[in-house]
Amino acid sequence: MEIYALILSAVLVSNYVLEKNFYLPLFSNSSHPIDRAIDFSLTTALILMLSSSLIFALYKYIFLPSELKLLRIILTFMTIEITTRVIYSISQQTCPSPSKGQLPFFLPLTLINCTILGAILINLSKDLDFLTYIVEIFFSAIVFSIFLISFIAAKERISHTEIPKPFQGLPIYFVTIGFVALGSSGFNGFLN
Amino acid sequence: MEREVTKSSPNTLNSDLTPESAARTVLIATIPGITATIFFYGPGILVNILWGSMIAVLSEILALKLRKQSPLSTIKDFSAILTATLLCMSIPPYSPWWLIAIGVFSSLILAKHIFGGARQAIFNPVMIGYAVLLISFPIEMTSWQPSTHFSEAPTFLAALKACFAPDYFDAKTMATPLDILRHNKALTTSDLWLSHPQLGHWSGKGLEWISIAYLASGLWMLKKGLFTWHAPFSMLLAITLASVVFYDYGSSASGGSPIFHLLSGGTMLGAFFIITQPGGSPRSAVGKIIFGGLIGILIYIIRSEGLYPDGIAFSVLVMNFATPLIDHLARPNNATKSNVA
Repeated sequence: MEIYALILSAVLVSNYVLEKNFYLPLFSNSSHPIDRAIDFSLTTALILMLSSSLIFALYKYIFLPSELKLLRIILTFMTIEITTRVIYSISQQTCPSPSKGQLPFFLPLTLINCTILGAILINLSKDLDFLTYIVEIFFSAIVFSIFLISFIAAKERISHTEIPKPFQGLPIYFVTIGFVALGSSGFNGFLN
Repeated sequence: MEREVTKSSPNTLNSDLTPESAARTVLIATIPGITATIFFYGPGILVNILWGSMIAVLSEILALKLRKQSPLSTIKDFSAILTATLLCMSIPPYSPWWLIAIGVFSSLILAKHIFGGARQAIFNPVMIGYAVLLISFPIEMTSWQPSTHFSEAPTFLAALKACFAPDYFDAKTMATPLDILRHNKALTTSDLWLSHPQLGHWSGKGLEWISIAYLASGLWMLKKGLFTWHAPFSMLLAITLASVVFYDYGSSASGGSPIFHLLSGGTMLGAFFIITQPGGSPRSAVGKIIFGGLIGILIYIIRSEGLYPDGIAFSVLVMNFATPLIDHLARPNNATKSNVA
Protein backbone atom coordinates (compact mmCIF):
# COMPACT_ATOMS: atom_id res chain seq x y z
CA MET A 1 0.00 0.00 0.00
CA GLU A 2 2.89 2.24 0.84
CA ILE A 3 4.22 2.17 -2.69
CA TYR A 4 0.83 3.01 -4.16
CA ALA A 5 0.44 5.90 -1.78
CA LEU A 6 3.84 7.07 -2.90
CA ILE A 7 3.14 6.64 -6.59
CA LEU A 8 -0.20 8.39 -6.26
CA SER A 9 1.33 11.23 -4.33
CA ALA A 10 4.09 11.47 -6.87
CA VAL A 11 1.41 11.86 -9.53
CA LEU A 12 -0.06 14.73 -7.62
CA VAL A 13 3.20 16.40 -6.85
CA SER A 14 4.62 15.76 -10.29
CA ASN A 15 2.57 18.59 -11.76
CA TYR A 16 4.58 21.02 -9.73
CA VAL A 17 7.87 19.27 -9.56
CA LEU A 18 8.10 18.06 -13.11
CA GLU A 19 6.52 20.94 -14.91
CA LYS A 20 8.14 23.86 -13.15
CA ASN A 21 11.35 22.22 -11.97
CA PHE A 22 11.21 23.81 -8.54
CA TYR A 23 13.92 22.60 -6.29
CA LEU A 24 16.36 23.70 -3.66
CA PRO A 25 19.91 23.82 -4.95
CA LEU A 26 21.24 22.17 -1.84
CA PHE A 27 23.53 19.55 -3.19
CA SER A 28 24.84 20.75 -6.51
CA ASN A 29 24.27 23.44 -9.08
CA SER A 30 23.99 21.21 -12.10
CA SER A 31 21.57 22.12 -14.83
CA HIS A 32 20.78 18.72 -16.30
CA PRO A 33 17.18 17.78 -15.48
CA ILE A 34 18.15 14.41 -14.06
CA ASP A 35 20.78 15.90 -11.79
CA ARG A 36 18.26 18.47 -10.67
CA ALA A 37 15.81 15.68 -9.93
CA ILE A 38 18.48 14.01 -7.82
CA ASP A 39 18.93 17.30 -5.95
CA PHE A 40 15.25 17.71 -5.45
CA SER A 41 14.66 14.22 -4.17
CA LEU A 42 17.62 14.37 -1.82
CA THR A 43 16.29 17.65 -0.44
CA THR A 44 12.85 16.13 -0.05
CA ALA A 45 14.34 13.15 1.74
CA LEU A 46 16.24 15.45 4.08
CA ILE A 47 13.19 17.55 4.87
CA LEU A 48 11.17 14.40 5.33
CA MET A 49 13.60 12.90 7.81
CA LEU A 50 14.01 16.11 9.84
CA SER A 51 10.40 17.15 9.99
CA SER A 52 9.12 13.67 10.67
CA SER A 53 11.33 13.28 13.70
CA LEU A 54 10.15 16.66 14.98
CA ILE A 55 6.52 15.83 14.34
CA PHE A 56 6.87 12.46 16.02
CA ALA A 57 8.20 14.03 19.20
CA LEU A 58 5.59 16.81 19.25
CA TYR A 59 2.73 14.45 18.48
CA LYS A 60 3.68 11.79 20.97
CA TYR A 61 4.59 13.97 23.93
CA ILE A 62 2.45 17.08 23.55
CA PHE A 63 -0.50 16.47 21.25
CA LEU A 64 -1.53 12.95 22.25
CA PRO A 65 -1.44 13.51 26.04
CA SER A 66 -3.46 16.72 25.73
CA GLU A 67 -5.97 15.04 23.38
CA LEU A 68 -5.29 17.28 20.43
CA LYS A 69 -5.14 14.42 17.95
CA LEU A 70 -7.45 16.31 15.57
CA LEU A 71 -4.82 18.98 15.04
CA ARG A 72 -2.24 16.57 13.64
CA ILE A 73 -2.65 17.73 10.04
CA ILE A 74 -2.11 21.35 11.03
CA LEU A 75 0.83 20.28 13.17
CA THR A 76 2.30 18.42 10.22
CA PHE A 77 1.84 21.36 7.86
CA MET A 78 3.37 23.80 10.30
CA THR A 79 6.37 21.66 11.12
CA ILE A 80 7.10 20.91 7.47
CA GLU A 81 6.93 24.58 6.64
CA ILE A 82 9.20 25.55 9.49
CA THR A 83 11.73 22.86 8.60
CA THR A 84 11.68 23.87 4.97
CA ARG A 85 12.23 27.53 5.82
CA VAL A 86 15.09 26.68 8.15
CA ILE A 87 16.76 24.43 5.61
CA TYR A 88 16.25 27.00 2.91
CA SER A 89 17.85 29.82 4.86
CA ILE A 90 20.74 27.59 5.87
CA SER A 91 21.30 26.62 2.27
CA GLN A 92 21.18 30.29 1.26
CA GLN A 93 23.81 31.10 3.87
CA THR A 94 26.16 28.28 2.98
CA CYS A 95 25.87 28.19 -0.79
CA PRO A 96 24.05 31.27 -2.07
CA SER A 97 22.23 30.53 -5.27
CA PRO A 98 21.60 33.17 -7.91
CA SER A 99 17.86 32.57 -7.93
CA LYS A 100 16.67 34.06 -4.64
CA GLY A 101 13.12 34.24 -5.77
CA GLN A 102 12.50 30.56 -5.45
CA LEU A 103 11.22 30.53 -1.90
CA PRO A 104 7.71 31.77 -2.61
CA PHE A 105 7.31 29.05 -5.20
CA PHE A 106 8.94 26.47 -3.09
CA LEU A 107 6.79 26.83 0.00
CA PRO A 108 3.45 25.97 -1.55
CA LEU A 109 5.21 23.09 -3.20
CA THR A 110 6.25 21.60 0.11
CA LEU A 111 2.82 22.22 1.54
CA ILE A 112 1.22 20.41 -1.35
CA ASN A 113 3.95 17.85 -1.37
CA CYS A 114 1.86 14.84 -0.60
CA THR A 115 4.86 12.61 -0.36
CA ILE A 116 6.06 14.28 2.79
CA LEU A 117 2.61 14.83 4.20
CA GLY A 118 1.34 11.38 3.21
CA ALA A 119 4.33 9.48 4.46
CA ILE A 120 4.24 11.25 7.80
CA LEU A 121 0.48 10.99 8.34
CA ILE A 122 0.26 7.35 7.29
CA ASN A 123 3.08 6.38 9.57
CA LEU A 124 1.85 8.51 12.48
CA SER A 125 -1.51 6.77 12.42
CA LYS A 126 0.16 3.35 12.61
CA ASP A 127 1.26 3.97 16.20
CA LEU A 128 4.80 2.73 15.73
CA ASP A 129 7.81 3.14 17.97
CA PHE A 130 10.31 5.75 16.90
CA LEU A 131 12.84 3.43 15.27
CA THR A 132 10.30 1.62 13.06
CA TYR A 133 8.69 4.93 12.25
CA ILE A 134 11.89 6.61 11.15
CA VAL A 135 13.01 3.54 9.18
CA GLU A 136 9.68 3.48 7.35
CA ILE A 137 9.95 7.18 6.63
CA PHE A 138 13.51 6.69 5.43
CA PHE A 139 12.53 3.97 2.98
CA SER A 140 9.54 5.99 1.79
CA ALA A 141 11.99 8.77 1.04
CA ILE A 142 14.28 6.38 -0.82
CA VAL A 143 11.43 4.92 -2.88
CA PHE A 144 10.12 8.37 -3.64
CA SER A 145 13.57 9.51 -4.74
CA ILE A 146 14.11 6.52 -7.01
CA PHE A 147 10.67 6.98 -8.50
CA LEU A 148 11.08 10.70 -9.04
CA ILE A 149 14.52 10.40 -10.59
CA SER A 150 13.43 7.57 -12.90
CA PHE A 151 10.40 9.59 -13.85
CA ILE A 152 12.42 12.65 -14.76
CA ALA A 153 14.70 10.44 -16.85
CA ALA A 154 11.70 8.87 -18.57
CA LYS A 155 10.22 12.32 -19.16
CA GLU A 156 13.48 13.36 -20.76
CA ARG A 157 13.30 10.32 -23.06
CA ILE A 158 9.66 11.00 -23.90
CA SER A 159 10.47 14.56 -24.93
CA HIS A 160 12.53 13.16 -27.82
CA THR A 161 9.76 11.03 -29.27
CA GLU A 162 6.92 11.83 -31.61
CA ILE A 163 3.99 11.53 -29.25
CA PRO A 164 0.63 12.02 -31.03
CA LYS A 165 -0.67 15.50 -30.42
CA PRO A 166 -3.56 14.72 -28.04
CA PHE A 167 -1.19 12.87 -25.74
CA GLN A 168 1.64 15.39 -25.56
CA GLY A 169 2.51 16.81 -22.17
CA LEU A 170 0.61 15.72 -19.10
CA PRO A 171 -1.47 12.90 -20.65
CA ILE A 172 1.58 10.89 -21.63
CA TYR A 173 3.04 11.32 -18.15
CA PHE A 174 -0.14 9.98 -16.64
CA VAL A 175 -0.09 7.03 -19.03
CA THR A 176 3.52 6.39 -18.05
CA ILE A 177 2.75 6.48 -14.34
CA GLY A 178 -0.23 4.22 -14.94
CA PHE A 179 2.02 1.68 -16.60
CA VAL A 180 4.49 1.86 -13.74
CA ALA A 181 1.64 1.20 -11.32
CA LEU A 182 0.68 -1.74 -13.56
CA GLY A 183 4.20 -3.08 -13.35
CA SER A 184 4.55 -2.58 -9.62
CA SER A 185 1.24 -4.33 -8.94
CA GLY A 186 3.20 -7.54 -9.44
CA PHE A 187 4.74 -6.88 -6.05
CA ASN A 188 1.31 -6.93 -4.45
CA GLY A 189 1.41 -9.98 -2.23
CA PHE A 190 4.49 -8.89 -0.36
CA LEU A 191 2.73 -7.07 2.44
CA ASN A 192 0.53 -9.98 3.51
CA MET B 1 11.88 26.03 -18.68
CA GLU B 2 15.29 25.70 -20.22
CA ARG B 3 16.19 22.31 -21.48
CA GLU B 4 19.67 21.14 -22.22
CA VAL B 5 19.60 17.66 -23.55
CA THR B 6 21.79 15.14 -25.25
CA LYS B 7 21.73 15.37 -28.97
CA SER B 8 22.07 11.66 -29.48
CA SER B 9 18.65 10.32 -30.30
CA PRO B 10 17.48 7.33 -28.30
CA ASN B 11 16.10 5.78 -31.44
CA THR B 12 19.28 4.86 -33.18
CA LEU B 13 20.16 1.19 -33.15
CA ASN B 14 23.62 -0.22 -33.63
CA SER B 15 22.34 -2.77 -36.08
CA ASP B 16 22.68 -3.21 -39.81
CA LEU B 17 19.28 -4.82 -39.93
CA THR B 18 16.39 -2.73 -41.11
CA PRO B 19 13.30 -2.84 -38.90
CA GLU B 20 11.43 -4.93 -41.48
CA SER B 21 14.00 -7.65 -41.75
CA ALA B 22 14.53 -7.67 -37.97
CA ALA B 23 10.84 -8.23 -37.30
CA ARG B 24 10.70 -10.88 -40.02
CA THR B 25 13.71 -12.72 -38.55
CA VAL B 26 12.17 -12.70 -35.07
CA LEU B 27 8.93 -14.02 -36.58
CA ILE B 28 10.86 -16.88 -38.21
CA ALA B 29 12.56 -17.54 -34.87
CA THR B 30 9.19 -18.04 -33.17
CA ILE B 31 8.45 -21.05 -35.41
CA PRO B 32 10.27 -23.72 -33.32
CA GLY B 33 8.55 -22.60 -30.12
CA ILE B 34 5.14 -22.49 -31.78
CA THR B 35 5.73 -25.93 -33.32
CA ALA B 36 6.65 -27.33 -29.91
CA THR B 37 3.53 -25.75 -28.39
CA ILE B 38 1.35 -27.28 -31.11
CA PHE B 39 3.04 -30.64 -30.52
CA PHE B 40 2.38 -30.60 -26.78
CA TYR B 41 -0.83 -28.60 -26.54
CA GLY B 42 -2.58 -28.94 -29.89
CA PRO B 43 -3.52 -26.27 -32.42
CA GLY B 44 -4.93 -23.72 -29.96
CA ILE B 45 -1.97 -21.36 -30.22
CA LEU B 46 -2.30 -21.29 -34.02
CA VAL B 47 -5.89 -20.08 -33.86
CA ASN B 48 -4.88 -17.53 -31.24
CA ILE B 49 -2.04 -16.19 -33.36
CA LEU B 50 -4.18 -15.95 -36.51
CA TRP B 51 -6.94 -14.10 -34.66
CA GLY B 52 -4.44 -11.94 -32.79
CA SER B 53 -2.65 -10.95 -36.01
CA MET B 54 -5.94 -9.94 -37.57
CA ILE B 55 -6.74 -7.69 -34.61
CA ALA B 56 -3.17 -6.40 -34.71
CA VAL B 57 -3.38 -5.35 -38.35
CA LEU B 58 -6.77 -3.72 -37.78
CA SER B 59 -5.55 -1.79 -34.71
CA GLU B 60 -2.42 -0.76 -36.59
CA ILE B 61 -4.48 0.58 -39.51
CA LEU B 62 -6.77 2.42 -37.08
CA ALA B 63 -3.86 3.93 -35.17
CA LEU B 64 -1.99 5.01 -38.27
CA LYS B 65 -5.13 6.49 -39.81
CA LEU B 66 -5.65 8.49 -36.62
CA ARG B 67 -2.01 9.59 -36.68
CA LYS B 68 -2.45 10.53 -40.37
CA GLN B 69 0.35 8.26 -41.57
CA SER B 70 0.26 5.81 -44.42
CA PRO B 71 -0.72 2.42 -42.99
CA LEU B 72 0.81 0.38 -45.81
CA SER B 73 4.49 0.83 -45.03
CA THR B 74 4.10 -0.01 -41.36
CA ILE B 75 1.88 -3.00 -42.01
CA LYS B 76 4.54 -4.39 -44.33
CA ASP B 77 7.24 -4.50 -41.66
CA PHE B 78 5.36 -7.22 -39.72
CA SER B 79 6.01 -5.52 -36.37
CA ALA B 80 2.32 -5.50 -35.42
CA ILE B 81 1.99 -9.17 -36.32
CA LEU B 82 5.15 -9.88 -34.32
CA THR B 83 3.68 -8.15 -31.26
CA ALA B 84 0.48 -10.19 -31.56
CA THR B 85 2.44 -13.41 -32.05
CA LEU B 86 4.62 -12.84 -29.01
CA LEU B 87 1.57 -11.97 -26.92
CA CYS B 88 -0.22 -15.15 -28.03
CA MET B 89 2.88 -17.16 -27.17
CA SER B 90 2.85 -15.76 -23.64
CA ILE B 91 -0.84 -16.29 -22.84
CA PRO B 92 -2.34 -19.81 -22.47
CA PRO B 93 -3.39 -21.48 -25.72
CA TYR B 94 -7.17 -21.87 -26.22
CA SER B 95 -7.83 -18.37 -24.90
CA PRO B 96 -11.16 -16.77 -25.82
CA TRP B 97 -11.31 -14.21 -28.62
CA TRP B 98 -12.06 -11.21 -26.40
CA LEU B 99 -9.02 -11.87 -24.22
CA ILE B 100 -6.71 -11.80 -27.22
CA ALA B 101 -8.44 -8.78 -28.70
CA ILE B 102 -8.11 -6.76 -25.50
CA GLY B 103 -4.49 -7.79 -25.10
CA VAL B 104 -3.45 -6.97 -28.66
CA PHE B 105 -5.36 -3.72 -28.62
CA SER B 106 -3.69 -2.55 -25.39
CA SER B 107 -0.29 -3.61 -26.70
CA LEU B 108 -0.54 -1.76 -29.95
CA ILE B 109 -2.60 1.29 -29.11
CA LEU B 110 -1.74 1.99 -25.48
CA ALA B 111 1.87 0.93 -25.35
CA LYS B 112 3.06 1.44 -28.91
CA HIS B 113 1.21 4.18 -30.77
CA ILE B 114 0.54 6.52 -27.87
CA PHE B 115 4.29 6.57 -27.30
CA GLY B 116 4.96 7.21 -30.97
CA GLY B 117 5.84 3.81 -32.41
CA ALA B 118 7.63 0.59 -31.53
CA ARG B 119 11.14 1.97 -31.41
CA GLN B 120 10.25 4.94 -29.24
CA ALA B 121 8.06 3.07 -26.81
CA ILE B 122 9.20 3.38 -23.20
CA PHE B 123 7.42 0.17 -22.23
CA ASN B 124 7.54 -3.15 -23.99
CA PRO B 125 4.19 -3.38 -25.84
CA VAL B 126 3.88 -7.15 -25.47
CA MET B 127 4.37 -6.99 -21.73
CA ILE B 128 1.88 -4.13 -21.37
CA GLY B 129 -0.73 -6.29 -23.12
CA TYR B 130 0.19 -9.24 -20.94
CA ALA B 131 0.11 -7.27 -17.67
CA VAL B 132 -3.23 -5.64 -18.54
CA LEU B 133 -4.70 -9.09 -19.17
CA LEU B 134 -3.15 -10.69 -16.09
CA ILE B 135 -4.46 -7.96 -13.79
CA SER B 136 -7.91 -7.87 -15.36
CA PHE B 137 -8.56 -11.57 -16.06
CA PRO B 138 -6.37 -13.62 -13.71
CA ILE B 139 -8.45 -16.79 -14.05
CA GLU B 140 -8.40 -16.91 -17.84
CA MET B 141 -4.73 -16.03 -17.87
CA THR B 142 -3.69 -18.90 -15.62
CA SER B 143 -5.80 -21.73 -16.99
CA TRP B 144 -3.51 -23.90 -19.06
CA GLN B 145 -4.86 -26.97 -20.83
CA PRO B 146 -3.27 -30.29 -19.88
CA SER B 147 -0.56 -31.26 -22.34
CA THR B 148 -0.92 -34.17 -24.76
CA HIS B 149 0.66 -36.47 -22.16
CA PHE B 150 -2.63 -36.48 -20.28
CA SER B 151 -5.46 -36.00 -22.72
CA GLU B 152 -5.78 -36.04 -26.44
CA ALA B 153 -5.09 -32.67 -28.03
CA PRO B 154 -8.22 -30.82 -29.16
CA THR B 155 -8.84 -30.79 -32.90
CA PHE B 156 -8.52 -27.64 -34.97
CA LEU B 157 -12.31 -27.30 -34.91
CA ALA B 158 -12.29 -27.53 -31.12
CA ALA B 159 -9.57 -24.89 -31.02
CA LEU B 160 -11.75 -22.58 -33.13
CA LYS B 161 -14.59 -23.26 -30.72
CA ALA B 162 -12.37 -22.46 -27.75
CA CYS B 163 -11.47 -19.16 -29.28
CA PHE B 164 -14.76 -17.93 -30.70
CA ALA B 165 -17.38 -19.81 -28.66
CA PRO B 166 -15.63 -20.40 -25.34
CA ASP B 167 -18.90 -21.32 -23.61
CA TYR B 168 -19.22 -24.45 -25.72
CA PHE B 169 -15.66 -25.62 -25.22
CA ASP B 170 -15.07 -28.04 -22.37
CA ALA B 171 -12.00 -26.42 -20.91
CA LYS B 172 -9.76 -28.55 -18.74
CA THR B 173 -7.07 -26.93 -16.70
CA MET B 174 -3.95 -28.17 -15.05
CA ALA B 175 -1.63 -26.38 -12.65
CA THR B 176 1.63 -25.15 -14.17
CA PRO B 177 4.95 -26.08 -12.54
CA LEU B 178 5.40 -22.64 -11.01
CA ASP B 179 1.92 -22.88 -9.42
CA ILE B 180 2.74 -26.30 -8.01
CA LEU B 181 5.98 -25.09 -6.49
CA ARG B 182 4.36 -21.96 -5.10
CA HIS B 183 1.58 -23.83 -3.33
CA ASN B 184 3.91 -26.51 -2.00
CA LYS B 185 4.28 -26.23 1.75
CA ALA B 186 5.16 -29.69 3.02
CA LEU B 187 6.68 -31.88 0.31
CA THR B 188 10.35 -32.16 -0.53
CA THR B 189 11.18 -31.61 -4.16
CA SER B 190 11.52 -35.31 -4.99
CA ASP B 191 8.13 -36.09 -3.38
CA LEU B 192 6.62 -33.18 -5.25
CA TRP B 193 7.82 -34.69 -8.51
CA LEU B 194 6.34 -38.09 -7.57
CA SER B 195 2.96 -36.66 -6.62
CA HIS B 196 2.51 -34.43 -9.65
CA PRO B 197 2.56 -36.32 -12.94
CA GLN B 198 2.71 -33.11 -14.96
CA LEU B 199 6.27 -32.44 -13.81
CA GLY B 200 8.84 -33.74 -16.27
CA HIS B 201 12.62 -34.04 -16.17
CA TRP B 202 13.35 -30.49 -15.10
CA SER B 203 10.07 -28.56 -15.06
CA GLY B 204 6.65 -29.24 -16.64
CA LYS B 205 6.31 -32.05 -19.20
CA GLY B 206 6.12 -30.36 -22.57
CA LEU B 207 6.71 -26.90 -21.14
CA GLU B 208 10.40 -27.65 -20.65
CA TRP B 209 10.77 -28.61 -24.31
CA ILE B 210 8.96 -25.46 -25.41
CA SER B 211 11.43 -23.46 -23.32
CA ILE B 212 14.34 -25.30 -24.90
CA ALA B 213 12.91 -24.48 -28.34
CA TYR B 214 12.84 -20.80 -27.35
CA LEU B 215 16.41 -21.07 -26.13
CA ALA B 216 17.52 -22.59 -29.43
CA SER B 217 15.88 -19.92 -31.55
CA GLY B 218 17.21 -17.27 -29.17
CA LEU B 219 20.74 -18.49 -29.78
CA TRP B 220 20.05 -18.50 -33.52
CA MET B 221 18.88 -14.87 -33.35
CA LEU B 222 21.98 -14.00 -31.33
CA LYS B 223 24.15 -15.54 -34.03
CA LYS B 224 22.22 -13.54 -36.64
CA GLY B 225 23.15 -10.37 -34.75
CA LEU B 226 19.65 -9.22 -33.87
CA PHE B 227 20.73 -8.34 -30.35
CA THR B 228 23.82 -8.55 -28.18
CA TRP B 229 24.33 -11.21 -25.53
CA HIS B 230 24.38 -8.78 -22.59
CA ALA B 231 20.74 -8.45 -21.55
CA PRO B 232 19.53 -12.06 -22.01
CA PHE B 233 22.57 -13.69 -20.49
CA SER B 234 22.74 -11.40 -17.49
CA MET B 235 19.02 -12.07 -16.89
CA LEU B 236 19.51 -15.85 -17.09
CA LEU B 237 22.60 -15.62 -14.89
CA ALA B 238 20.73 -13.57 -12.28
CA ILE B 239 17.88 -16.10 -12.16
CA THR B 240 20.38 -18.95 -11.90
CA LEU B 241 22.32 -17.31 -9.07
CA ALA B 242 19.16 -16.36 -7.15
CA SER B 243 17.80 -19.89 -7.43
CA VAL B 244 21.13 -21.44 -6.43
CA VAL B 245 21.08 -19.37 -3.26
CA PHE B 246 17.56 -20.48 -2.29
CA TYR B 247 17.67 -24.05 -3.62
CA ASP B 248 18.83 -25.80 -0.41
CA TYR B 249 18.91 -29.18 -2.21
CA GLY B 250 15.19 -29.72 -2.43
CA SER B 251 13.68 -29.47 1.04
CA SER B 252 10.01 -28.48 1.41
CA ALA B 253 11.00 -24.83 1.64
CA SER B 254 13.14 -25.04 -1.47
CA GLY B 255 12.78 -22.32 -4.05
CA GLY B 256 13.23 -24.81 -6.90
CA SER B 257 16.37 -25.83 -8.72
CA PRO B 258 18.11 -23.39 -11.08
CA ILE B 259 17.25 -25.49 -14.11
CA PHE B 260 13.61 -25.57 -13.00
CA HIS B 261 13.52 -21.78 -12.97
CA LEU B 262 15.30 -21.48 -16.28
CA LEU B 263 12.91 -23.85 -18.04
CA SER B 264 9.57 -22.94 -16.50
CA GLY B 265 7.24 -20.01 -16.91
CA GLY B 266 8.30 -17.45 -19.44
CA THR B 267 12.01 -17.31 -18.61
CA MET B 268 13.36 -18.25 -22.04
CA LEU B 269 10.64 -16.42 -23.95
CA GLY B 270 11.31 -13.33 -21.86
CA ALA B 271 15.07 -13.51 -22.13
CA PHE B 272 15.32 -13.92 -25.88
CA PHE B 273 12.11 -12.49 -27.33
CA ILE B 274 10.93 -9.82 -24.89
CA ILE B 275 13.81 -7.97 -23.27
CA THR B 276 15.80 -7.89 -26.49
CA GLN B 277 13.20 -5.73 -28.23
CA PRO B 278 14.68 -2.33 -29.11
CA GLY B 279 12.05 -0.15 -27.40
CA GLY B 280 12.63 0.23 -23.67
CA SER B 281 16.00 -1.39 -23.20
CA PRO B 282 19.24 0.49 -22.49
CA ARG B 283 21.72 1.30 -25.23
CA SER B 284 25.10 0.72 -23.65
CA ALA B 285 26.50 -2.72 -22.87
CA VAL B 286 26.85 -1.98 -19.15
CA GLY B 287 23.29 -0.67 -19.10
CA LYS B 288 22.04 -3.85 -20.74
CA ILE B 289 23.82 -6.00 -18.18
CA ILE B 290 22.28 -4.02 -15.29
CA PHE B 291 18.87 -4.11 -17.00
CA GLY B 292 18.91 -7.88 -17.56
CA GLY B 293 20.34 -8.67 -14.16
CA LEU B 294 17.76 -6.62 -12.27
CA ILE B 295 14.95 -8.16 -14.34
CA GLY B 296 16.22 -11.62 -13.38
CA ILE B 297 16.33 -10.76 -9.68
CA LEU B 298 12.87 -9.16 -9.75
CA ILE B 299 11.45 -12.23 -11.54
CA TYR B 300 12.84 -14.49 -8.85
CA ILE B 301 11.47 -12.25 -6.08
CA ILE B 302 7.98 -12.21 -7.60
CA ARG B 303 8.05 -15.97 -8.17
CA SER B 304 9.00 -16.72 -4.61
CA GLU B 305 7.12 -13.98 -2.72
CA GLY B 306 4.47 -12.40 -4.90
CA LEU B 307 0.83 -13.20 -5.53
CA TYR B 308 1.33 -14.04 -9.18
CA PRO B 309 3.00 -17.25 -10.29
CA ASP B 310 5.30 -15.56 -12.77
CA GLY B 311 6.73 -12.08 -12.85
CA ILE B 312 8.27 -11.53 -16.28
CA ALA B 313 5.80 -8.86 -17.34
CA PHE B 314 5.96 -6.92 -14.07
CA SER B 315 9.74 -7.02 -13.86
CA VAL B 316 10.14 -5.96 -17.46
CA LEU B 317 7.73 -3.03 -17.04
CA VAL B 318 9.42 -1.78 -13.87
CA MET B 319 12.82 -2.02 -15.51
CA ASN B 320 11.57 -0.40 -18.72
CA PHE B 321 10.66 2.56 -16.57
CA ALA B 322 14.15 2.60 -15.07
CA THR B 323 15.82 2.36 -18.49
CA PRO B 324 16.21 6.10 -19.17
CA LEU B 325 17.87 6.47 -15.77
CA ILE B 326 20.17 3.51 -16.45
CA ASP B 327 21.02 5.09 -19.78
CA HIS B 328 21.83 8.33 -18.02
CA LEU B 329 24.03 6.67 -15.40
CA ALA B 330 25.75 4.19 -17.73
CA ARG B 331 26.30 6.53 -20.63
CA PRO B 332 27.95 5.14 -23.73
CA ASN B 333 31.49 6.44 -24.16
CA ASN B 334 30.69 8.76 -27.05
CA ALA B 335 28.20 10.80 -25.02
CA THR B 336 30.52 12.34 -22.47
CA LYS B 337 29.72 14.81 -19.73
CA SER B 338 30.58 17.82 -21.82
CA ASN B 339 27.96 16.74 -24.31
CA VAL B 340 25.34 16.51 -21.60
CA ALA B 341 25.91 19.39 -19.23
